[in-house]
Amino acid sequence: MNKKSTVVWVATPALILATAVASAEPRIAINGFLTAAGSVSDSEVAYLNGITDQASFENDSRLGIQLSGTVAPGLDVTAQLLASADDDTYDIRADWAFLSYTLGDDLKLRGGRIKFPLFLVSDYVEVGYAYPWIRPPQEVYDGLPLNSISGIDALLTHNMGSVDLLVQPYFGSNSEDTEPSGLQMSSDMRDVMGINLVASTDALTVRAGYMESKITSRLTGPAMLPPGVDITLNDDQARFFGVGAMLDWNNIVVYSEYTDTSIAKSFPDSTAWYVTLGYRAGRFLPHVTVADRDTDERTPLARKQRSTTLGLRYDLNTSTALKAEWQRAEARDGTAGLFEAPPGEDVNILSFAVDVVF
Amino acid sequence: MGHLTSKRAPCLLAALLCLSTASSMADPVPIVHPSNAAATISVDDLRRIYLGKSGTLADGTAVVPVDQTTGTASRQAFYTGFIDKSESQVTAYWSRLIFTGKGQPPQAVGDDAAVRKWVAGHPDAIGYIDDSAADATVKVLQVR
Repeated sequence: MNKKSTVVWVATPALILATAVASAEPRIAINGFLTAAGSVSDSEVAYLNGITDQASFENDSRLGIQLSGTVAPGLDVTAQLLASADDDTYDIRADWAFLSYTLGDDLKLRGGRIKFPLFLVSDYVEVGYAYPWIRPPQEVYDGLPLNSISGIDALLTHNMGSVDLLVQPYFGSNSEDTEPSGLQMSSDMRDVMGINLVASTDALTVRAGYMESKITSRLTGPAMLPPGVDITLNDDQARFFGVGAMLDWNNIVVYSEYTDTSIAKSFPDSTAWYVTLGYRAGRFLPHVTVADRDTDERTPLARKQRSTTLGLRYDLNTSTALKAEWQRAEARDGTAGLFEAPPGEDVNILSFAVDVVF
Repeated sequence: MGHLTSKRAPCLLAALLCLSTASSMADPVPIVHPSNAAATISVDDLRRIYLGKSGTLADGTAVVPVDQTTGTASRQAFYTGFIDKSESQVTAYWSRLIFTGKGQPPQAVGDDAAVRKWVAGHPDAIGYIDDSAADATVKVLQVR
C-alpha cells in the first residue's frame, strides 16, 4: 500500500472514533501486541527476511495497536496499526481499518481494510501471543503476495449444539509494493474473492479456505533473473486453497495445514504442509514441527524446503510468553528453499522471542 | 463441577486442613441481578457466554457478562473450573478474536466486591464472585 492510501485509511476511522467519543456511553477499547525477537543462523545466506549468522533483532520484532469503538448500536469501528522492523527502518501500515455492522446474533458485515483469512492463522499472523511458535511454519506462510484487501466481508455464524460454524466470504482489491522471494515488485490484485469456512468446538477447530484473484505485477527494482523467466503478470489468475485444523485438548496441542498455491507464468504451483505437536505442562508448552514446501515444476523460481523445528513456549504471566526455537532447514533439489540463494547445506536457525498482548 | 459448588461442610471435620487451603481455594459462583428470573445455568451456557459465543441464558434472557481483573483467586478458579482454560489460554483465545475484529472480551470491573456491586446495579449483567462474597444484592445461579 502506498503512503497516500495509508493516511486515508488511518484518518477515516480516527474521525469516526472522535465522533464516537462525543456520543453517549461509548466503549472504546485499546488493545495491543508486541513481539521482540532475535534470530541467528549458521549460514551467511539470508533466510526468510534476512536471518544470517549475524545475530539480529530486526527480523520478527513488531508492535501493533488497535482501537475499536462503537459509533451507534450495532455499528463499530476498528483500526489496527502495525509497526514492523524492515531493514534499517520501521515500516508502519494499517492492515485493518474497517466499519462493521452487526445484524442480530448471527451476522456481521464489515467494510474497509480487512486482512483476509487465507490460511489458519493468516489474519492474526502478527500476534505472536496467539500461537505456539515464534513464526508460523514458513513453508506455508512465507511468500504470500498480499494479505489484506480494501473490500468487504461477512461473518455468518451458526451454532449447532457444541459446534460453532463460521462462513466468511470476502471480496475486494489491493495494490502494494511487495518483495516476494527478495524481488522488488509492485502487485495489483483485482477481484479478490475468497471464502473461509470454520467449524469449531471447545477443543477443535477445523477450517477450509479458497481464494482467487487476478494479479498484475511488474518489477520495480533490480533483479538478476535467469533467461526465460517471466515474472510480469497481467491480470493473471492466482488461486489459493488451504485446509487446516487446530486441537487443544487435555494438554495436547496440534496444529496442521495443507495448502495449494497456483500463480501463472514462471511462478511455480506449489503445495505445502506442516504438522505441529505440543504438550502443555503447566506454563510450559514444548512443541515439534515438521514442515514442507514442494513443487512439481522445474522453473528457476521453484522453491522446495523441508524443515524440523523444536520449540518451547513459557507463559510468564497471563499476557507475556517467552519462546525459544531451534530449526533445521533443508533447501531441496538445488533450489533456494526459503533462502535468498541455495545455501548448499542444511542450516540451523536459533530464535528467541517475547510476545506480549495488552 | 461438584467440587466447586459443594458446601464446605468437610471443614468442620478437618478444620485445620481446610483453613490451610481455604485462602488459596476460591469457590466462584455465577451471579445475576435479583430481578433475573433464572435460578440455574448450565456449564455449557456459562462457557459460551464467557467465550463470547452467546449472549443469552437458556430461557432466552439477554445477559452481558462482566469479568474480574486478571489474577484474582476467583478468576483463576472460574476459568480453570468452569471454562476449562488457564488464564493464559483465555488471553490467547481472545487475542485471536480481538485482533481480527471478531469480538471483545467481557469487561473486567475488578474483584469480588466490584463485580457484586456491578451486577447489583445492572439488571442484564451476569458475573461471578466467591461464594463467601455473595449477599442479598445479587442472586446466585446454581450451576447444573
